[in-house]
Amino acid sequence: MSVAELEAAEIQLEASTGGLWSDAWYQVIRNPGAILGAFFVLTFLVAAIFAPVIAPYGPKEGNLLLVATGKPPGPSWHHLFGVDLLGRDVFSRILYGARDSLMVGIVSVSIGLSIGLVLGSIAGYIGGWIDSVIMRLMDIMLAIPGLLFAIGIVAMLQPGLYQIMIAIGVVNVPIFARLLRGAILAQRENDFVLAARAVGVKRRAILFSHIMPNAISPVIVAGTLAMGTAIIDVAGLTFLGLGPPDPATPEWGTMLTGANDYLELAPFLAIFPGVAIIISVLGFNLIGDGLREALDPKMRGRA
Amino acid sequence: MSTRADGSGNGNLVEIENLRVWFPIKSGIVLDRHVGDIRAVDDVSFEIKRGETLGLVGESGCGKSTVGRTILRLYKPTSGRISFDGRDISKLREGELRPLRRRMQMVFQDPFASLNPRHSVGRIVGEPLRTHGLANRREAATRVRDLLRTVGLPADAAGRYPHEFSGGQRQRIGLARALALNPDFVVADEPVSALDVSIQAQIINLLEQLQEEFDLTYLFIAHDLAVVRHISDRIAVMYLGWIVEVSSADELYANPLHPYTISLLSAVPIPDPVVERSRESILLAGDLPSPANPPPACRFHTRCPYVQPTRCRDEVPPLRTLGSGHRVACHWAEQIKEGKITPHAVEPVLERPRLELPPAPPPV
Repeated sequence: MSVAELEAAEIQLEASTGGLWSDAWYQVIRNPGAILGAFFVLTFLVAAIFAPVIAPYGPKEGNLLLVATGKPPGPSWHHLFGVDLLGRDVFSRILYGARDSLMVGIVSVSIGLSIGLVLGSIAGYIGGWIDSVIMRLMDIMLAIPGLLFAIGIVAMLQPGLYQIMIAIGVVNVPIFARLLRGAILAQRENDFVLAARAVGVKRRAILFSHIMPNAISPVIVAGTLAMGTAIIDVAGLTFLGLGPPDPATPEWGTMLTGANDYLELAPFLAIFPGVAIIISVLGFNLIGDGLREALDPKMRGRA
Repeated sequence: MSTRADGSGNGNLVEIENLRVWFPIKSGIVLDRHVGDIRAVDDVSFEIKRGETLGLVGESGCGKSTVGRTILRLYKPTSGRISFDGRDISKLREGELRPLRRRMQMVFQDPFASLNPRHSVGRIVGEPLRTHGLANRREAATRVRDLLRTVGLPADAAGRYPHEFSGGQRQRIGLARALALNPDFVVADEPVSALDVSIQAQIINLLEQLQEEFDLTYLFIAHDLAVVRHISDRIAVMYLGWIVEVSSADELYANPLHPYTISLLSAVPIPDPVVERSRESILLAGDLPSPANPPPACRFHTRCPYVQPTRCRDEVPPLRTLGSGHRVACHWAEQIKEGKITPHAVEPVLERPRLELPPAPPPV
């Protein structure tokens, strides 16, 4: 065999290791839904990062003269989304609010995902009484309604944005743990796992190179979907008054709460933060759907 | 042929004695309670000679796959002895088994489930080499190409994924993986039953060709008697966790002794319309009884067309040797052979799906 042929064979072996993710990427960038979702999320991400540059006004700076009539003026060229009851620019507040909302989504899902993945893989792969103990604990957590559970945790930790992230993360733990455990159990009995054992592959290597890559994709999809729900949950918790102690902090949920009493007088105060929530959640969901299709090995090469 | 480490010179590569594999049945909400056992394999003994192919046949659920997997120690035996090349491996731990895994491999029934869909063919076939540290990256690539060529696949298959191949091609990939470590012994668990008939012959021929080339010993598990006859030197017939008959392939087909084997063979169609129309085929009544609650004494007595009023229902038939190396577990084998006992109708016994549970403990 010539050197060139050897090189070619080597490249083939090499390419095989990253194949799944590069293929998945190839699929995602050809999925119009996923692209639209990524566009939404990226828009908010850019808005969050460059809020001080883009926003025409400060998030907390109000001009009470604008609301001297008692009725906040609606959208205009000076204030794209209108001004709120304290004369603050709604557009600027939504831009700044994206920071907290996106951060909550990402941080809380990361908390839930990391704890859930560890618990789920221990329960699923080790099994036995450890599995029983972990899963009964998860059942107890799932038995409490999510929002109520989160309210309880935040109430225990004092209201605030970080406490909300922890609370939503904890509420998500049993969902991810269960999902991963189920997927691992399904994969563990596969013939290719048995084949790997017959070859003599070590337990840990079987878990990480055979079981996990096949079991993880539903969890990743659920994770992106959970980011959307997390944003809604934050809005709900701050709506209930468990948000940041400084009421001037721009946050979509808080803005909705503030608009509550003035829906007839100034509906745009509720519409704009509401639309921001909807679009960001939709963005995450579209990415999640695209990922689910892309990570299915049977869909490969059908772009 | 590999070195004979045992030095016993008896020519057996694999010997199993009184092998039992019972799977516990558990129930309970919080704590698992042991309520019974599935007796998948119950007191099975046989040996496989070096270089031969032992066919293991039986209905689905009779425990033949469990035997194969337990010999490879993918399952833990409940009791009994498994010796591989003179060494008892029935109690070895996973770490101690690892070096032995190089010498015994498996080919699976379902070529779609036995290959990880996320790994390329090169990675699948190269995994055994990497696991045992037998080759660096460059050597592994060369070896993978050689293996793929050996099983009749193009070398560029290495960079492709299992779903791009047909069932027969995937089975070849599975074979290449099994051969990567240069094993002495291969358990082929129904390797062709998931394939089209035209492809079956190709894979069977490939298996035979590889056996010759690499001095392989096969345990060939199947339910298709025609395929087994073609490839096997000797055949063991299994029924409900038991070996009921063992003999050389030709002898078994010419001269079946156990009523179960007789009825199995009578169900194989003969490609001659005259013979086919005139011969009598025996249909077995009822279902395979539950291995959780097997019939007492002879396990076949509930379906046996030759069942007798004595012994069958109250005495366990041992595996006896009749003639040269022909072993059978039936009290009446001689009488059946001589035609003194003829088949009669059997009332089908319906299998109750529930288990016989032990009586509930008295309330405290």
